[in-house]
Amino acid sequence: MKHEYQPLLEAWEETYKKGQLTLWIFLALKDSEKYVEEIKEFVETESNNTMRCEEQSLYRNLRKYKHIDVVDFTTQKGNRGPDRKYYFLTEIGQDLLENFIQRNINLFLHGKINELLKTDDQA
Amino acid sequence: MKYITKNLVIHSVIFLFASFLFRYLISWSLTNSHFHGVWMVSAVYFISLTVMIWRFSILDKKHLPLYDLGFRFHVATFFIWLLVSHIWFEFGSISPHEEIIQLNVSSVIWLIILVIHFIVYRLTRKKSFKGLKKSDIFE
Repeated sequence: MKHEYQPLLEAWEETYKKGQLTLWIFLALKDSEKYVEEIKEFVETESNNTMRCEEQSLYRNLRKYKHIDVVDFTTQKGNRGPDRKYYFLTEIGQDLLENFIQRNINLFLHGKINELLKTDDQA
Repeated sequence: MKYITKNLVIHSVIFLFASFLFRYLISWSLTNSHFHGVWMVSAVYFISLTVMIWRFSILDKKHLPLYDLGFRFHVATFFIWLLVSHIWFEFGSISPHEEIIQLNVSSVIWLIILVIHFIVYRLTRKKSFKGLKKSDIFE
């Protein structure tokens, strides 16, 4: 059922999602190295398809992260076709993500904010 | 080597050949007293150069948005032009109307512009991290 505030929700979400792709990419690489299709799948699946990303956009971002040394890759044989680039977080990348989570995400998980975030069906 | 990108190399190679062609056409026009030709060749060369830098720097930015205000392209273009011009004066068939002093004056003027470009580039570096504009890194 669509509410009358649906356009507002969409507009808010659009603004909210800006700047989130980095976090999702880093989360995708936190535990294991992945190639681009796997990163895309992780982001879309784990975000319940609220985050959509094109492969080209992922490649462009990964090139930037590699340039600033927070991400690197190894080349490995794919099942078929050419070799694949498996991306992973470098030590700096891991530290950066850790710090970002501590400063910006963890505050939602504790105390009053956590209580306030509970929706009616969770109360 | 991160700053020597594929697009910069392609630009440099094309510009290298274009510069030899430019030098040849200028010398030929001057030798044969086609003075209108000199202006025409120079205009076409300048416009092509501008379009080429614009095109390749856009492609370069799409690949990796290095924040250098076009300084890498400017440096490459200047040194290729300087190299080609000196090679042409040394080994090419220059016209009697061409003198090395003209080349030297042009080089000094261009070098001053390049230095100003470098200063502006250095001043804006605090907005960047490892060559990428901070506000462009994360999406």
